Order: sequence, then structure tokens, then C-alpha cells
Amino acid sequence: MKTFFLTVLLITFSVAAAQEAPVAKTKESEDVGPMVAPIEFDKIQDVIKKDRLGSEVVKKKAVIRKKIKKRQRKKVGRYNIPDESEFWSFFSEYWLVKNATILKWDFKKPDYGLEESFKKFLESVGIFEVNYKIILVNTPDVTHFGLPSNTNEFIFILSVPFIRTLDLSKLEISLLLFEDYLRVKNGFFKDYVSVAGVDSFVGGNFYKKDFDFSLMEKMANKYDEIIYDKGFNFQQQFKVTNRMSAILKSNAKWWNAYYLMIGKIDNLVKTNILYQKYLKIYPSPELQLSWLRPKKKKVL
Amino acid sequence: MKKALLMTFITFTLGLSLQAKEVSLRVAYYKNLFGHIHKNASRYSQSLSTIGCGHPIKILGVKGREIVSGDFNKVKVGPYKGYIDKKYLVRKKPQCFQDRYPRFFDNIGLSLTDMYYWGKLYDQYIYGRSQVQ
Repeated sequence: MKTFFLTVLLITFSVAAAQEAPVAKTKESEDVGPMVAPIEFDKIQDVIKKDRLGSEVVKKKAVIRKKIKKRQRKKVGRYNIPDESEFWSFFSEYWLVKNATILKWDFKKPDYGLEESFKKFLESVGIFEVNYKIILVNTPDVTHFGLPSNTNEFIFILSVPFIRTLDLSKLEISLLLFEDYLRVKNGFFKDYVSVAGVDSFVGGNFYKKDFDFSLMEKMANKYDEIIYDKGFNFQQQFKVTNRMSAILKSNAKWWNAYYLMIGKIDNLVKTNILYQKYLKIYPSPELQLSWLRPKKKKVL
Repeated sequence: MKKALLMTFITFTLGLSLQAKEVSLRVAYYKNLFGHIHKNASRYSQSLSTIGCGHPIKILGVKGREIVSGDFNKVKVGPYKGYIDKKYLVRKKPQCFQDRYPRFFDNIGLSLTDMYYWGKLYDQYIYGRSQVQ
């Protein structure tokens, strides 16, 4: 019985050992690893060249570089400041908005038909493709003014109390606006409000820089100064008056209307206390009349 | 007889109500920097809401026809039904100033009052253009 048990045990062990053996063999073979020939990089490069994989990599890298540049450009572009063609209109409107309560332009006004009359006048004097916006104000403090705007665009301020007091006709209003047009065209306003640093600010970019808001404040103060207080100088007025005279001389009706209108203004500023400041802004109607008057030749 | 009269009345009122139903015909976009939806078809009319450039606006109409009153389109913006001047609306989303110069625009620091007045400014302007004849 004992020998039988021993024999069975021996057989079981030997069978088990026989089953284990192949696994051990496999592990052994894994440890050694497959027999691989050493990599020849020169040959691989040739294959890559043949498959044009190298040029593909260059292309892909260029595309990625382009994308990164484009993204960066877009990111920097978000910090752009409008250039000359857009800045002045924006800033003039910004000033009008900030001064809405002083200028009192938000009111119901009658339709004076200025859109059509001024259009016709401009076309008659040969000025085409010009856009204009007129804002009527309900204050005698600012009588009329031309503000700088986008290329071929003009913003005009016109006082309703001023028009009413002088009882100006459509032609006279057009002449007044045309005077302002010439002032803007000559750059008198822009020159005055362009504080130091504006040239580099307009159309610039402030990426990774602080936004210079103080510059805009300074410009807004300059707007206040020229519109409410200082106005234009004698030389500028002389230049504008002479130009007006030269343009209007071809039409006696226009020239006479201009002369008479200046006369009306002269009379108003001398008699109405509300408009005495006018002399500071547009010096002076009396001088304008003398500039316009034909010179008498002395007979010897 | 009474029944017939009642039926005619119901048909008539139903017809009227169906006829007057306003629907959105298309979407337009506001093109100025800021603007207003007016209660009535007038630039002086009360402002229901201030909108910015590029704001989508539903143009209202009846039976496929836009409701136009003078120069104004009847529109729906959010919960408001009102009027906007036709000349300020465009079919495609415009390239707005505030989108082209976003950081500059942010740094200006406009208040709600400024935006309101800026919208009003466009209502108050008299626009013109001289042309070659």
C-alpha cells in the first residue's frame, strides 16, 4: 500500500514538472529576446527621402509656424488703435457724447431741410463725394463748428438758437457750414488738438504696454479749449475769409449773401450779450467785412 | 339665423386675428456703434433698449411683408418690439468698430449713459452726401 502511494505521488510530481518545463523555457527565451539585426540609420534616411517623408515634415512644420504666427498676429491685433481714417470720427463723436449735457443736442427739432440744401450747395461749388453729419444743438454757447472726422467725412455742430436769432436762410446756413468745412479742410482744428504723442498713438498698438488714456483726456481738453474758449486766430480767419470770397465770387448771389450774413453776425455780437463770446472763437466779423470789402484804389 | 350670424362673426374675427399676426421674417444686424429700439416709428420716440453694433434684430412682418412705417422697420429684439431706422440695418453681420479694436474700446471705459447718448447721437444726426451729377 505504501509503495502504491509513493508511486502515485512520484508520477504526479513528474507530470507536474513536465507541464512546468515549457513555461520556464518561454520565459528564458523572452529574457534573451529575438535576434534583431542592428539599425542602419543611413539606410532609413534613404527610405525617408524616397518616401518624401522629410519634405512632408518640413511642410507640416511650416504650416504650424504659420498658424502660430497668425494666432499671435490676431492676439496683437486686438490691441490696435484705430488709424487716421477712423480715429477722428470716433473721437469727435466721443467728445460729443461726453458733452451731451452741455451742448444739449438731444432734443426734438424742426426739419430745416439742411440735408438737401447743403448737398446742393456743395455740389454747386464743385465738392463731390463728401459725407457730412450735422448735429443741431440747443445752446447759444457753441454757434457753429466743424469737427475732424474720417476721410471725406465732416461733422458739423450748428446752434438752433443762433440760426433763429439771426433768422438765417438755407443758403446762409450752407455758407456758414461751408466756412467750417474750409477750416477743417485746412487742418486748423486737428493741428490744435493734436497733443504731443498723438501721431504715434493713432494707428499704433499697445500690446504688452499700458494704454495711455491720459492722452485721450488731453485731447478732449483741447477740444473743450478750442470749441468753448479759444477758437481760431486772425491769420486762420483771414485765410478762410479770403478763400470763401474767392470761391463765392463766381456767383454774385452767394457772395452778397455771405457778405450780408457776416454783417448780421457782426451786428449780433455787438448787441446781444449771449453771443459776445463769438468774437473769441471767430475773430472778428468786423474784420471779415473789411477783408471782404473791395479795396478802393487811390486816384493820384 | 342667430347661429349663422354667430358663425360669421367668429370666422370674421378669427380671420382678422390671423391676418394681423406678426412674425419674424428675417434677421438683420445693427450697423452703428450704438443705437436704440424706439417705441414708435420716430427718431424722437422713447427708447425701449440700447443695442450695440452687430446685434441681431428680427424684422417683423405680416403675410410675408415687412412692417414698415416711414423710414422705420418694425423689429423684435429680445423681449422688445419696436422700431429701428432702416438705414441702420444690414443683412450681413457688419465689421464693427468694437470688434476690430476690442482692447482700445474696452480701455475707453464707456458708461451706460455714454452708450445711451451715443445711440441717440446717430438718431439726431442729419446725414448728407454730395454726389457727382
